[in-house]
Amino acid sequence: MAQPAPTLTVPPSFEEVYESCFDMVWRLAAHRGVPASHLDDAVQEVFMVVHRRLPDFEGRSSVRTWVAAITRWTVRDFLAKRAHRPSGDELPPLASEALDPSEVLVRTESLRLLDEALARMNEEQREVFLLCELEGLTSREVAEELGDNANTIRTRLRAARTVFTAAVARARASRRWRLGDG
Amino acid sequence: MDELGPGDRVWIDEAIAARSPSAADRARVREKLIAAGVLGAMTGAAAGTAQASAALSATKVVSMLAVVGVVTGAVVWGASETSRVAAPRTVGVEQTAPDAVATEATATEATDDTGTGETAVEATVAPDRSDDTAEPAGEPAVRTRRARPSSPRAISLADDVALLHRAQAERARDPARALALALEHRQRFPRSPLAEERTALRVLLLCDLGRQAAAERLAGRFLARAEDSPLRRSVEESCIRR
Repeated sequence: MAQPAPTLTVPPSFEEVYESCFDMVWRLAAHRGVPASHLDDAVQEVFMVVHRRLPDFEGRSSVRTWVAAITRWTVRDFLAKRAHRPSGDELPPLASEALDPSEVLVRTESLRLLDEALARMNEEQREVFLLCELEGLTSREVAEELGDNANTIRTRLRAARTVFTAAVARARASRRWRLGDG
Repeated sequence: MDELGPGDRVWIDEAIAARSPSAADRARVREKLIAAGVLGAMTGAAAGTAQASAALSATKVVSMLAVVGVVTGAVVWGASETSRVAAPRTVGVEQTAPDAVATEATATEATDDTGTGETAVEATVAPDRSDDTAEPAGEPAVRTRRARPSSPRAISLADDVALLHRAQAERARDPARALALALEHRQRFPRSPLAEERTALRVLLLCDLGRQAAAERLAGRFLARAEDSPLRRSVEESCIRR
């Protein structure tokens, strides 16, 4: 009986990784608290590491999972280094002037709610929530990245969703109060 | 909880859109990586994709500018989120439902915000009796509608966002001017849905101008009222702690 031919895995080029993961890296850095004025630098650092380590990528996880892991610890280091500098001196941008003003408000409110919910989660819940709910990774992929089993990830995700829906409920109650309905 | 419902999901979708990079962001970082020698000039498919993306973005920006300039938006704060998910954001469709209640008409206003010692700059605008921190973090606009360009409310909302945007942009060049703009914003839009952002910005501007005592007073009131605000961190880490 003939042996199946070994499958050849062609590692992705840096350009391909960059194109497919740039948006995710940018968002993950922003969600984790990198100020808007430092996002360029943080994202650049992530891709410098990706470039350096790409020859070692073995394809045992998806590229996105691998890049997400690099983003996690690179951004953590980036923020740790920045913590020694004067901080608290900037606000999130209001959003592009090109947007419809009503869209600006919707997005501002959504970011407020998301950031509030993320702040209420513990680190493990936050990580799983960001990767699964915002970046669309599966619980299995996140389990690979974090080195946990998929059931543990699903448990954390459930807890994180509960925190998030509670934040939504508070926002709804706030709106009702503002409209004078109760 | 196995998954988020559509009413919860819509918040996440908006947040993703808000935090996604623009074409300019992509181009800037690309330039840096090219300069660092880890990324070559765009070739082949990547270049085609980028060019197509840039062209699409340019078209989109032009369209958005047209929307903002010609058909300014109005916000409806009372509709259901389900309808927001389902409703396409049609440009140019006039709807004048009676529930079109703008935030400025419904938000409550609390106590005085004067007495912060901002007189040096505040002299440029008349003081009012509003307080930025009275606004709770609320529901985002649940449905977007387009109104006539002449709609006072639509114009007001566009002006509201634009003025605070100007204040924020001016900060790096001229903090005193930026503070004057923020105070003008407070005077013109005392019940703005961006009131929290305005107050936080004012605290930082007072810090920039070395007016620590005024910054601390304003920050104190902000922190006491905006307990869950994501802007707390910016305020807490401002000059008030140094």
